[in-house]
Amino acid sequence: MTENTSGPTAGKAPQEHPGLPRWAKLLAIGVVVAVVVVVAVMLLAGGQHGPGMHG
Amino acid sequence: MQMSPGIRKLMLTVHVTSSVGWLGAIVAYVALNAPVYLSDDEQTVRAAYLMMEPVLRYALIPLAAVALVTGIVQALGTPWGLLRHYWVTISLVLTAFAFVVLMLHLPAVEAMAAVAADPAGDVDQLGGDLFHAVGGLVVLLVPLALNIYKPRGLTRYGWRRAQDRRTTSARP
Repeated sequence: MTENTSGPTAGKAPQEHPGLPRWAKLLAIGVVVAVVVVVAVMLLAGGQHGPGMHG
Repeated sequence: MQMSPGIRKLMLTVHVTSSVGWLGAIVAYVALNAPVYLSDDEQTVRAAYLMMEPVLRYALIPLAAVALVTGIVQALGTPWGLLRHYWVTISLVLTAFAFVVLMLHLPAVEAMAAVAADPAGDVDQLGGDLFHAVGGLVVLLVPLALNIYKPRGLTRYGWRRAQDRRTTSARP
């Protein structure tokens, strides 16, 4: 890891947090879609999976 | 606490090595699943199931643990912090998730290896373990990309810290 941040507020008045960046929103949508697809496949395959099968 | 440049380079070297090694071990685990789906030779299939357990126990889990720990140390010992930037926090969550799944999955892999080790065991009903292997690979490719691209974005905590630092440094 290397630092390349000079601070988001350098030389500016205090600002509100800008919220979740676009790339993080897209990643979150991708994760939700992946989870839904995996759960759907599990259910269609007979629900033979989950943490309960471990141990 | 900030690390000295020498320690930081060393930790980064260990972190990259273990992370790349972890990905390589997953690929090896995926390869061990190939005979399960492709081979007609029962002995080859049994051998593949038997090898999944040591690959998980002695390669995947240790490499994942080292990658997770060195990632946390690396984040805490540099200005990046653990919870200041979204890419660092998301990488931490996904890596920790993958590590927990690995640990939870060990008993199931041990059970498969036990069936394969038993000459009377029916390996055809085991069904392979490709889902976990490919799932783990996909999950780990996200932190890999995030660590390389380091996309911008401060968390609320990171934003507050940056504001506080600016206020403090502006004081005479």
